[in-house]
Amino acid sequence: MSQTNTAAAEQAKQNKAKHRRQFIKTLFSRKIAIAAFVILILMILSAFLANFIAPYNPDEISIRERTQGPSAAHWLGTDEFGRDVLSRIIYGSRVSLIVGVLAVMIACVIGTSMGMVAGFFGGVVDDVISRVAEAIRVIPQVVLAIALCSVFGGGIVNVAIILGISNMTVYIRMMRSQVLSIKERDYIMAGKLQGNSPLRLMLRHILPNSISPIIVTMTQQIGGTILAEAGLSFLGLGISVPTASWGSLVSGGRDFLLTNPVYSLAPGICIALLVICLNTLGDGVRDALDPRLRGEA
Amino acid sequence: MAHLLEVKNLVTTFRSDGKEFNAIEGVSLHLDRGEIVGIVGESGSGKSVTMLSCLQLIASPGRVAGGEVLLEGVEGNLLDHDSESETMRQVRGGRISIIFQEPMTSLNPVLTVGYQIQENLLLHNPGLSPEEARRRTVEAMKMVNIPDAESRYNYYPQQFSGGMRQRIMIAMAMAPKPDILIADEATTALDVTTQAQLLEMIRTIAKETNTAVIMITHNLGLVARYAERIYVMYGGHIVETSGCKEIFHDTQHPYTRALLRAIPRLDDPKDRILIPIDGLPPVPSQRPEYCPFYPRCEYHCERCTSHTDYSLKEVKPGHYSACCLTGQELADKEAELRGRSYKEAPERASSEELCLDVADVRKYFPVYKGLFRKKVGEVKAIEDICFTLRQGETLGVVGESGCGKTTLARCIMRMYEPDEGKIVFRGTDVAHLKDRELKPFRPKVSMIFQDPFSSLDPRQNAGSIVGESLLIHKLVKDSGEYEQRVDELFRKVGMDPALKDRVAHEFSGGQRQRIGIARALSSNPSLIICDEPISALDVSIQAQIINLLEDIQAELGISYIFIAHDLAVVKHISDRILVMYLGRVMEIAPCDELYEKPLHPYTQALLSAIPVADPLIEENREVVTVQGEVPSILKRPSGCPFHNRCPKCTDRCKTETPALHDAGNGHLVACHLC
Repeated sequence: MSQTNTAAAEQAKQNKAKHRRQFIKTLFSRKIAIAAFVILILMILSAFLANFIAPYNPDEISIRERTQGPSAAHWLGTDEFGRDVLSRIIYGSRVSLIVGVLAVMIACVIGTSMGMVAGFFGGVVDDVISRVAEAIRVIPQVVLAIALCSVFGGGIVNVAIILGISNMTVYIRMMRSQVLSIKERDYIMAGKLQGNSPLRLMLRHILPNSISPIIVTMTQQIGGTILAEAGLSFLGLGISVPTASWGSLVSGGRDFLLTNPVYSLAPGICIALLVICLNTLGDGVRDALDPRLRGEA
Repeated sequence: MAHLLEVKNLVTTFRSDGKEFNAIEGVSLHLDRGEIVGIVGESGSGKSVTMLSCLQLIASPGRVAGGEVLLEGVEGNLLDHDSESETMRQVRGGRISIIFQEPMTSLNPVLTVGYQIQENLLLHNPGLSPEEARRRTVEAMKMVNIPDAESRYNYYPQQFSGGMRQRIMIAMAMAPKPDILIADEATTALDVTTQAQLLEMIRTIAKETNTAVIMITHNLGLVARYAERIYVMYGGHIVETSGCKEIFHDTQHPYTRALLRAIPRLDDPKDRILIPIDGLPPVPSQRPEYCPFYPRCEYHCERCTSHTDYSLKEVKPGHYSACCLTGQELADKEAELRGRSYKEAPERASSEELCLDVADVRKYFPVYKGLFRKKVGEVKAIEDICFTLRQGETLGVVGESGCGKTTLARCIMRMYEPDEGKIVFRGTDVAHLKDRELKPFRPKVSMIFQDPFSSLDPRQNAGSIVGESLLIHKLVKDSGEYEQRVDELFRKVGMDPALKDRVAHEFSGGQRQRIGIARALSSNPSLIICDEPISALDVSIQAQIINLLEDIQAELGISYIFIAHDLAVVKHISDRILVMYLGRVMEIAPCDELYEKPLHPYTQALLSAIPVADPLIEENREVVTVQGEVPSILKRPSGCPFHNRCPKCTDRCKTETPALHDAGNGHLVACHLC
């Protein structure tokens, strides 16, 4: 008896491993997903290893070399203070990645759970959450972020939290509408009739079935958030002045677009690349999570 | 002799995953003026594809790959004309009309019904003056018995009920006076009494106007009642064709024989054993070269696999079958098979112990309107529901859509809290318990759902769907016991435990329903509520599920409440039957008693509306059609809810609601007259 029990448990363990393999296989079933993954890893690595990779100190001012185009010494040229743009981009990836990813994570976790609770319980709970979300939404996102920044101050984490809160409403509304349609399905009723607690019902049955559009929105929002951080920094509310971020580099270079386009374009391309990679990977994750698509890949 | 419509060797292919496969292979059929022909088959057998191919309505990735379609009055092969050519457009709607299954979506909601009928009329008769067109539209609406046709001309589709909309579809199809009317599952979505009315009407119109009708359906009863000639399709082929009576009484092809043995009939004796067809219908892309029915066929022999010519052969005058075995071989095999003893119908013993006692249950739903959600009225979903259920017994609940069957089920399951009344489950009144107090009750009552596609979580694998309540109610000690119990449940419903890490979409409808049953059984319930558990399944699969449910009951002594609109199925599985109409109980009686001596006029009408899959019996049956349709639950008539459709209505029925009273033999009825 105990032998069959352990055999069955062993079987279950194997199944789990098989599922993990299947997940990875589907995720990387498209070549472009592998490329996106590699680029993303490179970006993260360069952010971690900025001290070793960057050819210059990003904040070192050299008036003699200011606003130069690309050269052998400065691959991407220099800015108006003669700082090396390549080094600034490499260091700037730290700020941008942290702010972008952290802000979206905060928005997603809070927004999704509030939306799920609102949709699931309905009634007064729904009314309160929906009205709060609408109230936040009425204020333009940047204005809200500016207001919060001037109250709580700048800094990477603060900026991430503030951008997260101002982005949250998208997830609340999206999740709420997803839950409203999913909770009418028979399998949710079946779950309820089996005696599932509301929490378990939400986490085990509703969340996995409504996650796809959330993942796609998340990957798209990271780019927007990085640019929003630039806007705040430009106004002097975000990251304090000498520290570089991709967004501040783009806005810093815009005065030199005609004379030295690389200054502004290079960090812009980095943002675009990051968003494209995240998007591709996001699509892959969405497909790999969906058993209906998993089999076909 | 030339036929009105003749189809020869029609082949339609579909492309999927870069491979082409044949959806229908070499279908030949013909049709004469004024004839009613039935095409029967399960889903995926190619019934609809055949008719759509004739009209060149097959959309990409499908295409008509070959064959001939000859229509009287059209030069040459219809398939040689371009799909968008003037000829084809005149044929569609003008010569051949189609009515589809779903009346709720087949009319345009922003145009009046009059306009929509007239539009079709003008397309095919361009010379018609507006007055003439209007006159003929009203005429068409009168033909399909729409009351006040003149004033209804300017109504919009949403002002009509489902049955009325289907009438409008028929009027639209018939207005240009076509030669052929194709009814593609035209009444499947409707209530049985409405279905009977509509089909009677189509038959009358067809005979008056000499229009040929092709009925496409999966319901053998319907073709037995209405069709004159029948084509049986399976796996993209026509396997048998003959006159209606010959198909049912001199059945040739093994598939047709198996089908007739598998379906429950209204006139069955109670203990008849359904012999299910094993296995699943073939997937078109994996269809073998030889007979598609071979793997499921009881009669198959070695010769079948080498026989690839699957054309129809005349077995008897006018009777064609596609089986390669001779009549003698079939008869021998038949004798051998029938000699073999089949599993006995399982013995079900219901004890005297009461499982459920429902008394005076009432549930109204408030209707809110306006900005401040002011309550403006209520939907009287169910009221005065009383019945009892013994342990191990099956109670069938029948009624048309909107009669409150599902609301009743949900009240018993305590998805809804009834406004009033008692639901005593094994000694405890659960009607007004709070969610937390209900927890011990949950595992004791489970439910099997109608739609096997939406009742299983698409993100969970089959094993965790089945095992979920084991974990919730801590019915197993460790993970090993859990796995073992799940495997046991899989085997109990006839599935291989190796399939447990597949997800829902990888299973067929029948298999999904088995998983649903395994889930219902997992918590060792004493009562299972089956809400139309087989109506979404193919006919050949239904018998498998019915037998499974009966076996499980015999083994575990579970009580069932079996909700269905198909009275033949209910009769087969139930010990007692409860008939509902507009939220009220009309009649409760032991099964045989109800079918032999229905007392309530509504039960009588319901029974006679259901066709029996036997043309000889159908010929002699007296069909009592009731007038009108089921009224909206918002406008329940006062007094007896059935009084405005009842042929025996008296003044008392209009004012006084009859109470359920005993008419002897445990037969309860709510009617003043009996």
